Amino acid sequence: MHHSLITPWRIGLIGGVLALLVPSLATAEDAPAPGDDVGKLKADLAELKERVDDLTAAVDAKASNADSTLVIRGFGDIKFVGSSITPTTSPGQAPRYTADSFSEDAFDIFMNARLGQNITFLSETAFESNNSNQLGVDVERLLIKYDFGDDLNIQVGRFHTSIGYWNDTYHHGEWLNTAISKPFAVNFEDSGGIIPAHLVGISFAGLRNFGDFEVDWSFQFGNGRGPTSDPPEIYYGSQVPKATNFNLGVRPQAIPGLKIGVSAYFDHISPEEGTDPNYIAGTTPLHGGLHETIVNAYGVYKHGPIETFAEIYQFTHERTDNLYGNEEGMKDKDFAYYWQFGYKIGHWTPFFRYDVLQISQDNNYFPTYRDSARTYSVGVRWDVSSYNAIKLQFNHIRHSSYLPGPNTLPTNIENSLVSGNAIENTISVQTSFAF
Amino acid sequence: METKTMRTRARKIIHVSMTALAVCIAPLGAADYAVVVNAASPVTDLSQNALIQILKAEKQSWDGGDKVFLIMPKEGSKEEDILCSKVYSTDSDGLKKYWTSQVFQNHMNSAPKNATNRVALKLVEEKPNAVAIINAKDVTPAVKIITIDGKKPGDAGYLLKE
Repeated sequence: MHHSLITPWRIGLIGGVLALLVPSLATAEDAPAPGDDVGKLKADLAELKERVDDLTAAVDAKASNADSTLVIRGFGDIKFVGSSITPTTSPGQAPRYTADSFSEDAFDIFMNARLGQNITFLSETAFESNNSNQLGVDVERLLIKYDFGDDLNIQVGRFHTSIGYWNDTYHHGEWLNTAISKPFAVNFEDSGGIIPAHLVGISFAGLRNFGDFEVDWSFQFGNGRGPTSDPPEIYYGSQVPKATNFNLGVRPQAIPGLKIGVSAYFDHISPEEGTDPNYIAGTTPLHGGLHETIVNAYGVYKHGPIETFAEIYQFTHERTDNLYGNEEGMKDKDFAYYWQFGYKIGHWTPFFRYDVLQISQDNNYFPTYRDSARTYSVGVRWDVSSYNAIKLQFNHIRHSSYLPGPNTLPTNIENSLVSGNAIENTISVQTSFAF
Repeated sequence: METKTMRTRARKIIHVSMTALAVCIAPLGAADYAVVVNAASPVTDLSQNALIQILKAEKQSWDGGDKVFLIMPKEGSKEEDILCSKVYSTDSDGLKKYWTSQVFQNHMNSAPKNATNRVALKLVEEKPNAVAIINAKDVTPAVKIITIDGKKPGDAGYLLKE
């Protein structure tokens, strides 16, 4: 039977020798020993240390390929936001905007483990604070991945919808983003986001090389979203057929760092339940049954110090019934797009983003976002260390055609926004980290 | 059977010659960095694009289907410098961020381990699916140097040239 040279007791033994050597070396330096001996001891110690490092690296490398190796990582961030709009809180109403406040934004625990040669498990749990000063716990991802090589892998569970570029790239760790905030279009559901960021179901994905270009693709289907855009349908889906999503990205070999792609998402959204007790004819906007289609196109270029990407989304909601005064076949079309550019200079990355949201006032499916806004952001990211970044960001937001809805802004802000072309300036500072 | 033996012998001769050549050439000028695989690996050449895909973990399987066991150079080493500039277009911190993103996007279970040349050589020698980048002058005959687009360390236009 073959025995490995690298065994815990051997490492322990070498560690023990080192532990003995270090103090004896210190003593040797204090004592009037001949210089040659000290030099030799130092050389021996350096050699020994290098060998221990080698052994440790070898053990780590072997362990990384073993089954059931649990990897635990995490992310967190804390920020300060100052806003030119000061909210007043009406009784019983939580402000969506906070001004001049510190926020413990999110703390994210990420775990994965190899369950077999080609089977891995992943979970991501986020502890997030909300605008009611409460802490919520969300299992953001929980999945098992079956890997059949580069061409195909299958994931089952709760995963990020591969809709567009951002949602499938940055996930929850703010440290991964260059900027502090996300573009409006890709906010998560519980932050009033308008895309179905998470899906519970099954995902097929792969990557194929065609010589001059490389194609990555994914096809997903799952529960989709229900009568409200949050929370996602995590335990049961209210509609059959299920939501489907397809993403296709192409990377030409001739231009390293470039990727262009498209995605399309289709879902059926149930009407609000029967006779909604809150429904008052003509006054309460309810959406009824909907066909939802979200098409997206994106372009990314990340090479050397340059990082730039842009996305455009078109949302179509078609009424499928005449409930609540809606007219079957009527469609709302909404848009969102952004462009971000960053340039890394040493540990600093100045960035700029132009972000546009255009939500129709007839759209009753996004009650908290019936807003059109253009946001100009400039900022800088400073990578203080390998896993800590401090970011500063200034946002200039031009709201227009804002329509008050349920659970939205405090009255004084709504009034100023409804008057049209309200301007809001915010400044944010964030420290974010990964471990 | 005889043909196979001859082929194996020829491969060994080429392999030893390439290693010897790399060892001789390296000290003459700027260092070249060799892509090394297990001596039994059927891989003898990779296109530049395929190598970059492997090093970026975009391609995680060899053509035969075996998982690639990627060994990254020790942090702060010359090998890491050359990869950062020629492959990843970033610096050492950017590389850490790259691997963290890959893990977080569930493209891989864990970041590849960093190892000194000595450990990397040992692992490549042991593991049939391993690949590492090592200064050509440090390469031993126990592993195999593969060419990139037909070019070996020391050739003009070789990708991993300092």
